[in-house]
Amino acid sequence: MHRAILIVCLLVPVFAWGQSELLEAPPSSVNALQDRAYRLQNEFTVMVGFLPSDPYTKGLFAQGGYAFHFNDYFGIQARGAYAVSLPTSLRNQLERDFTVLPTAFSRVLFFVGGDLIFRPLYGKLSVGNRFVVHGEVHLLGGGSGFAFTDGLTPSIRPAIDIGGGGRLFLGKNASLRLDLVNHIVLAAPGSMTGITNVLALNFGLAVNFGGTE
Amino acid sequence: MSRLCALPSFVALALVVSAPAFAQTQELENPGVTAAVQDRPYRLLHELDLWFGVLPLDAFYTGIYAQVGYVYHFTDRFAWQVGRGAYGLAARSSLRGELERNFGVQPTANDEVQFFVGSDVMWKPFYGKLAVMNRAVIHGEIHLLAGATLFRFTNSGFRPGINIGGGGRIFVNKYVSFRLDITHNVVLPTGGGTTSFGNVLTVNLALALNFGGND
Repeated sequence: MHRAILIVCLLVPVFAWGQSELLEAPPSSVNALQDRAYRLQNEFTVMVGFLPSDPYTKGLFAQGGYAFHFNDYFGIQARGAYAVSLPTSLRNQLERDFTVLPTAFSRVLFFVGGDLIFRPLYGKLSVGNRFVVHGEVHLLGGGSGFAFTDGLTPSIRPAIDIGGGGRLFLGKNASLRLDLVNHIVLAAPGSMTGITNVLALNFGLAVNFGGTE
Repeated sequence: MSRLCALPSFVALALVVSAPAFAQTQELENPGVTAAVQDRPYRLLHELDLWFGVLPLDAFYTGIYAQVGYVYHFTDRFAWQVGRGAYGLAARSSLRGELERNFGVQPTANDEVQFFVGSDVMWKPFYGKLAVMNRAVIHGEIHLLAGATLFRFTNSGFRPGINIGGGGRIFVNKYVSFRLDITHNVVLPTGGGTTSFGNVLTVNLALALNFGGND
């Protein structure tokens, strides 16, 4: 009898404790996610960029593109860019002091390609605790065709692209976009050249139609 | 005739009177113009950083370094990176061999960063939260940096530099956050007989331990 009373005394507070746990659910475990203020569908981009990775030639390029966003997370884009090259001091020194011919240096002329866009992060930032700006972070993966030239002979080489970037929304129809993409340029068919990495950093204006409407 | 003259006046009056009402309906139907800024769940005061970084700019080598630093945060927006010190190793690129092989050129000894110390002022204008696949919420902030650094190069010795940069932080909890910074250092042409400016870009990732901010 004493044992039964002892068991009941031990069990009753356990049930009460369990109920209080249910009633006092920790509020921090509930995440309230607001609906997105800006959505994308048809996106046209105008960007300027920089190709910093070649030690002999730095490239500046202008790029235009179109992206179609299937939903809030996935999209595809097509893009084309034309580049102008600036010789570095190392190349100038080689040409001047060591009589290396300018045709010894290959440079990017233009490149076109397409990417899958994955946008896992969307958020809003307070600016100085006064304004709120909306933005998102995206990842890119795709392929490109690169046209190189040494000043005499052009060559086309395929590339695999991986990269990422971010976007700040200016309004329903406009946003600013910054991308950093590494193009792994493969050897041309039948060529002796190896794999080359072309890093592209680009920034531009995106004009969006149809998403938020 | 007088009726015809009065008509434009009535139309103008009707338009003027209706304009404020139209403006009011615009305000009533568009409550989204008021931006509600929530209080920050994570605040910083004393911050201890353990960094790992790279110096990618020099074509002849990529510097890899470890760094420690301490930051004191005065407010939510301003902080002082009181001190940071880094020691680096150089991973030589293939450019040296390429110059020898392709052009028959033997490069002279390259000036490499050995270690550096510095201090910065931090401005943190952006604080926000991001939805991850609409399932979880993470908090973070974006900051800008400006300061000074003293470099020790293998050939030219000690040289001062001025640096500007920026970065971001993702909070894991009250005490732990991850920080990514990119800083550009303009190395001044003093010391070691150098006569030209140098550029050193640093890209680094840190584990930041925060004490006292949320207490």
